[in-house]
Amino acid sequence: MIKLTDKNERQALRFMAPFLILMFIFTIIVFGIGFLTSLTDAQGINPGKNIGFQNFKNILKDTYFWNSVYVSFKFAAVSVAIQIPAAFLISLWIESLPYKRTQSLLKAAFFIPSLINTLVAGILFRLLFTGEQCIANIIIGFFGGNPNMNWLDDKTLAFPLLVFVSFWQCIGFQIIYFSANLRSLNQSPYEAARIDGAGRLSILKNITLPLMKPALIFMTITSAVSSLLVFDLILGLFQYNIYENVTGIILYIYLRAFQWDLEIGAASAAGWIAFFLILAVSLLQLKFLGLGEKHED
Amino acid sequence: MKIENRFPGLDGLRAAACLLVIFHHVAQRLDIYSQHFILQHIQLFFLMGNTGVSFFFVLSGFLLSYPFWKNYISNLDFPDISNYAKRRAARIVPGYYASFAVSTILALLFIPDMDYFARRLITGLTFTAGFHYTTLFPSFVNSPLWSISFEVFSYLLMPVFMFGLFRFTGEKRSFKKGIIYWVFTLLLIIGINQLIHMYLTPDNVKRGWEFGVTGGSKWWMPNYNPIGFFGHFTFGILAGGICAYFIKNKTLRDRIADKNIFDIASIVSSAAIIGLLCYVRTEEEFTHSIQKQPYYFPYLTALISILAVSLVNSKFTGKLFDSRFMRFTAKISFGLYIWHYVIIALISFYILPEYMNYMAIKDWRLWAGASLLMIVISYGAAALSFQFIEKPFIERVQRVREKVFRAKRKIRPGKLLSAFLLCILALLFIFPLLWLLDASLRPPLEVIQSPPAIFQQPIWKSIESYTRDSYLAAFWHFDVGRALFNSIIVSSGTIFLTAIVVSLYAYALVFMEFKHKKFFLILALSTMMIPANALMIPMYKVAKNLHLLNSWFGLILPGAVSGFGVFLLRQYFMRIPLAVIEAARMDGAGHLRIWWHIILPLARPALAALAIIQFRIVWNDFLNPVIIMRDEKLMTLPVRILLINDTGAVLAAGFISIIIPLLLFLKFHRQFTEGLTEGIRK
Repeated sequence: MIKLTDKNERQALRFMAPFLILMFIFTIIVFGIGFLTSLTDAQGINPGKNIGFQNFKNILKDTYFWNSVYVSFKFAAVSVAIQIPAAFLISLWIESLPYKRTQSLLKAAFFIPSLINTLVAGILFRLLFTGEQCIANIIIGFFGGNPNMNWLDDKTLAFPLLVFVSFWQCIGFQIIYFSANLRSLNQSPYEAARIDGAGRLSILKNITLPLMKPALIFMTITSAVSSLLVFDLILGLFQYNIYENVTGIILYIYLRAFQWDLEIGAASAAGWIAFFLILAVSLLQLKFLGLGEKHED
Repeated sequence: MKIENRFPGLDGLRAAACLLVIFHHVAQRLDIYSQHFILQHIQLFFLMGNTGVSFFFVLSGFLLSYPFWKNYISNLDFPDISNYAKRRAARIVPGYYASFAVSTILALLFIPDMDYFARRLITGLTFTAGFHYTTLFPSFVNSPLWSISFEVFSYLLMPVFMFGLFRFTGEKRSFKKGIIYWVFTLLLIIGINQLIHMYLTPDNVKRGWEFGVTGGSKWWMPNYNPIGFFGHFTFGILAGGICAYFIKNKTLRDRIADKNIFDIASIVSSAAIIGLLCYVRTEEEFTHSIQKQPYYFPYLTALISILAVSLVNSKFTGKLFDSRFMRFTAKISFGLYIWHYVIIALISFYILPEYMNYMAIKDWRLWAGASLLMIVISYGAAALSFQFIEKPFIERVQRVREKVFRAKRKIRPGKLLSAFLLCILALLFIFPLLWLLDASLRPPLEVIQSPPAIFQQPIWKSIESYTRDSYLAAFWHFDVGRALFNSIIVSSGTIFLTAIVVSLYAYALVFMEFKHKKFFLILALSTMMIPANALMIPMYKVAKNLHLLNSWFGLILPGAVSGFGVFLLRQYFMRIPLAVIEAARMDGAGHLRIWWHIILPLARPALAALAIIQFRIVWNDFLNPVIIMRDEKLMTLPVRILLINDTGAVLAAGFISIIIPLLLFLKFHRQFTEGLTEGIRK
């Protein structure tokens, strides 16, 4: 424990008060109200009356809801499975280059798509993929693929398209993160390996991967959580024509509460269920943040 | 800059010049015929404020020639010209380009037809606008930029002539020879100027301010021309030479100074300047000068030079001129000069349409209010411009870096190929954005045609058909400007509040002792785990009950609850040595003071990282704004974009939404990466 100042509980509370107040209102009260609402049959501006756990029962029986849960988890699993290895390989590739300027330029180029508003990215790709002779098809044709795909009107193509756009948007962030971590790795094992004459692949397998494990796990969890929450990308990409095989949980709640039948109560209940599902995943995050640290003196 | 600090009084003079120009533009807005007699004459006096430009030229001539004079008098070599060029470029180019870019964007948005636009753009970017009446004003909304190309031309001529002086005199230099040389140069300039008047005077077709900017510049030229203005600059050079001589011969200088001759001279010359401006206030333009030159050349110019010399050597008056306010104004004077007209334009576009026109406002109270607002905003803009655009470049040049000898790298073909492949991959990544830029600039009909226009003809051919139509549609039909403004307000508000709230919390966690510390830490961090999007409905209800719907605070307040921010700052604070805090405690400083005066400045890198991460979250947020901001006028950019039903406008708005994050990232990418890695380095 640090021995620093006089004990002053009240002052500490005063310092923490602004954050605590905001947190109280915007998380704890929001929680409470969310729970209360989910027990009513509220619809639109009509507050509704208490109907107990009926909403939960209905939601749990709603196939559309379970479909959206399935979509979200499938999307998260596929995205993470593609993005994390790709990002890791690209960052290894970038870091292997001896040119400093080129390295940072490349990282910037990969990162720029992450700066774009997700919704705008969705809209941008919708325009790129609209029509039979769209740019995407021309490029696919150039590389020898089938140039006659009707992307936005084909249900089977919707999910791969979503995964692709998400890949384009998310990978830059992961590359920057991995590169920064690769740079801060302890160099002494590498020197030892070089003296021993270890091959490149065995260095990667025996040194880099174990050292990078925390970073990889952390990124996997964060990416999984943010993929589970996918929402505006779908809205931007499929604005007028959203198939149910790309309707994620959050979009389901949004549509239910603000677009379809305005069933606020039912949507709240869905929100609660989604909340616990996602929380379970993100709780893993807590483990990897290193909370037990003390002040380095 | 270092040199300027050594001369007392010149900061004050520079500030006065800057304020004169601003007051001139302020005075232009008021309708003189409906004012009271006294106000009319005050206004007439301030309309003479355009002479401030002449002050600027004399001052530049003085300060820039001084190092040359110093070497000349001390029998040293010709100064390092590349250093001179670098310093000049660093001082002028970044600020000017920023202002020119903003003015050009505003002009594209607000000015319906612009003659010679391409020409003005090119000459504006190359500092050659001043050589023809079709380009004299490179920007339609920021007229004071005309003088920059004149200045740059003088920057070029001065060392050329100085080089001649060093060459001619060779070993046998004397101060007298130098002054005579420059007087002859002045006469030569006046002679050339005469030739310009004889052969290069524009014809009388559509000449005059009633024919718009082009007619106005035709009317100004050749009375205003780069050669003539080098005459003003030469007066400054002569003044610089005299000062260099005085500083070399200290005894002579002190003898004169002790008799207070410099003080008296400065008072007399300032009185004469004010008197002259009062006298000519009712006279016509281009009178009372030789060769119809503006700014009462050479009488006023000579008075300014005398004032400069006497202020620099004076005992009291120099200090009198350099009050704190004047020094601050002088520091940001370049920014004030290049930005204040942009502010005038913005006020006229958004608040008071008449503010753009000459003599358009009848009510002097309205005029005074608008002008005060303009001046206050201009000071803010100029200070920001100095801090973030001009200063970094000036400092970079001033830092003298020793050239590190770098061993020649061996070229490794394998690595080169691998870099090349990666570059192609990276290009594919940004291709959609290049397409976005291209498509947003095409005529709206081309955008929706299939196959896309980008593949129909080579890009350099299609550039000719680029238009601003989509951007105009986005701004005028779909109110994207307001949405952009809303987004900026919400983002900056959130960043500011987060920084305060979170740093206080982290401070308590790290530097204070209290019970259940760990609980409070986990409490804050747990907000990170909450998928807030799942709670959109109760969030909407809470906002509604707190009357936060359709209010910026409805987005800013919840945005400040950043568990990640607490984590980031806590990590950073823990690295600050406790000794720093303890020392401050010993001195009796309270926690609040330590937090504000010691910890926050120390934690600047972490705060920058936090700011950028928060910015990215808020700028890209869609769900919260769509729930909270139901009013069209308050919508943020993404929500607005979703409602646009015109493809061209969507593309334009999309591109606009990228620009700000892109600029921020390019400027702060280092802090950003550092902030990220702070995450889990154990």
